Amino acid sequence: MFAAQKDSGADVSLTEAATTTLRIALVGNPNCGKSTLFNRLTGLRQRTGNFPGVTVERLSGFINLGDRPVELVDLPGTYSLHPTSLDERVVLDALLGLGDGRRPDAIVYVADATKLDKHLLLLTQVMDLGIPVLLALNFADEFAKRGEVLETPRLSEELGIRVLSISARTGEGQRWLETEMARLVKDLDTPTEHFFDPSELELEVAQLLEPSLPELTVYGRILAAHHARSSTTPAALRITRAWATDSPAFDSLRLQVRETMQRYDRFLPALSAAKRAARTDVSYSDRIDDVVTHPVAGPLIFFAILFLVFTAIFSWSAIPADMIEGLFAGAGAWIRTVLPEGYLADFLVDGLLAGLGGVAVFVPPIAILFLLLSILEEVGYMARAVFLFDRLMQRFGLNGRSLVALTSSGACAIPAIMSTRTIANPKERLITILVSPLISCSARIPVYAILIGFAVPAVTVWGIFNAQALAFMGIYLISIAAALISALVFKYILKSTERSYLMMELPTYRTPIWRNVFLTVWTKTKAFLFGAGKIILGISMVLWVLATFGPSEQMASAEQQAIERVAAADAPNLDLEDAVAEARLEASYAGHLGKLIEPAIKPLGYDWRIGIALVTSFAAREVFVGTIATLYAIGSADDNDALITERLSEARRSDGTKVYTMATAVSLILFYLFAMQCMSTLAVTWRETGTWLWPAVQTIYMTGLAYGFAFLAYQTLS
Amino acid sequence: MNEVPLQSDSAVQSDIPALKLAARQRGVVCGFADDCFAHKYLCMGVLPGSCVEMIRKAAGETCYFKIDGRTLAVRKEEAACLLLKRIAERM
Repeated sequence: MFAAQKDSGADVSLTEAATTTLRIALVGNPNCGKSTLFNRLTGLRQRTGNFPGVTVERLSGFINLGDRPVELVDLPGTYSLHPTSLDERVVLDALLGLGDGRRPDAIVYVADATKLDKHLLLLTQVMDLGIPVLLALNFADEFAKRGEVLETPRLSEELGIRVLSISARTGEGQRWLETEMARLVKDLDTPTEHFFDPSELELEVAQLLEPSLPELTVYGRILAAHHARSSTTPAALRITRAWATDSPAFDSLRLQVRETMQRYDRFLPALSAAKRAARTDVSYSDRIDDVVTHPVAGPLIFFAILFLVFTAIFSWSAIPADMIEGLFAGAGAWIRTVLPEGYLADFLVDGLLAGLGGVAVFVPPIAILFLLLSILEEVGYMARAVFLFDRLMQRFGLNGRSLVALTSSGACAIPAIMSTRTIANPKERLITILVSPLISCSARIPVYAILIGFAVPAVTVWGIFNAQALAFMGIYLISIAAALISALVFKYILKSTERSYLMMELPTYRTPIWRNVFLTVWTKTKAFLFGAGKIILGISMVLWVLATFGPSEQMASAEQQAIERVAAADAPNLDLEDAVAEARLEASYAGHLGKLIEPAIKPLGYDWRIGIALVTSFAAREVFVGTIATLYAIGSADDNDALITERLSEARRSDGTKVYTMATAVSLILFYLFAMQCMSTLAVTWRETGTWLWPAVQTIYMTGLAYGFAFLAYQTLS
Repeated sequence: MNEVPLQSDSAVQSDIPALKLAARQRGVVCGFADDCFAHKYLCMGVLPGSCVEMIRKAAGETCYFKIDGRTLAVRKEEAACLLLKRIAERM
């Protein structure tokens, strides 16, 4: 009887396992080639978040093992399960199931075969969590080249888990790995070897936590006891409530050190039994570093690279951007010839197509920036830049790692803010998040491009420099200065007692793996196009509706008045159309909105039309150009984007003075330079800080700066 | 290696912080002057007995070490806590 019951029970769990998708996590130290392996295994089947322009906490992708779909999760690299940064915290939460409540069913542990004496510490910790694991030794090709010998069967025997050699770079051993992974999820054997004997006290603590964490092993509960306090997930809070960690006998740090040393003492002999080393020095990397990290040459090289990156963005993206614009203009013209004149054609061309085009023109600069940044990262250069500028960044309350975020901000603040997770100190991380949006992102480029013509004449100064190009550079320098000065102010306002770390491995220089570069560009650009793009497109369409419709009586009377006015002046037919359209726009809902905020922005030199553009820009800055184009295009019969500048220069206030003077243009440029006008960025800040306080602080201080500087500029220049 | 010489209270004359190494000078880790940094070092595989070579310093004394064949960037404060026994210069 009993046996029969047991069997049916096993059957049920088997069918359950077959229907629910198993989850395999990739775990390993930083620079172990984990992400390269992930890219190789999943390819384009990677899943990013559904939030505007944001990837989720972890990259995941579905693969087929045997005939079974498995979810593969790429966790951030970490040295140990005792976290010191948010990135490392994510790994612990995922492995203990404190995040979404689900632990991985199996783990592929990736280690650099050439640095096994360092990379096995984390493996022994993972093994003690009781999750089935296999060890993939990466860089097998390099290892062999260095003449070292590792007996994988022997290591496998010592560790009690499957061990295999692969090369994520060349794909060597991939088939074998997939077969082994299929076997891992089929058998689900938990590791039996242990590398740590907990002390009496730790065992006691584990016992205490058993009721609240029944599914974890003793070691899992000990980890929870060490680190639950520093986590904010609901599960962690439950543990903290269940167990007061104030007990003075539980000296968390001492116990962690004891555990770490015990692990080394046990796995190092196991490793040396399987390894015969032949030490050689990798010297090409050292020789590159002699130049690249040189105290004088190093910073010069960094700025030269930065200059090249931005030059490339401007010059390379011009042609594809023009082509995209031409494509959309052509499509618009075609729709107008096919469809009868009316609201449908107007909506498709001025609403939908204008919006789509506005999004699409950003794809080339964003893709190019991500391309170049990911190459620098892949090669191993970014870590050197962090090393060079760490102390300088610290003076401003930042961290060397902030440099990566601030540089990425030149493309988009969203990935920049997400990259701050590697900063261990919460205060430095927060300041980096707060000031990153001040660095001028690619979305501001078209705004500057339109306005700079009004602010600076296109003349040559000092013989060789284009005055407008110099002004462009000036704008970027102002934005960098603004970010650093704001950081300095926050450094003195915010209080923190937390430790700050740099302690970072400088990876060996390698030629970039193009698959990784391509996938980074692809996923990031896709996230922008379909995430942030949706918002921009939506706003363009809403704007078209607001600018086309209005209270019907007012619209009718405005139209009538315009017709009478033109008739009285006896003007030609074309002017009549323009005058009617302008009157209708003024009477529309958008016009009312613009008029409503006009008193507040008048001291900055803006009229109600710019008011509309400012309001819509709060969704995303790049909307400005689209809005201005829509607002001034709606009136005119011809729909040529190249005429925007010309049309703007003819725009006049009701008293007949020109709207776009030098003073207005400078004031607008400064406004866009400083103002927090990006909902997606605010959403990411909220996600990364967990409270609405910091998005609010960002909005207030940045927009305050914008208003102040725009006001000063307009009042002194006009 | 059961007892880790964490706090080197009675620092012997020859214990010097890694920060004080000149370029290309080497030493062997014999302890740490700070518990928090110590654990971080241990997790990264810098153990008592590891061989440390100073490669160079950047602005603000950020140090670039080669430790057991691996390159590490370390802050001034972090380098000050890493205690070494000097070993002879490389010929």
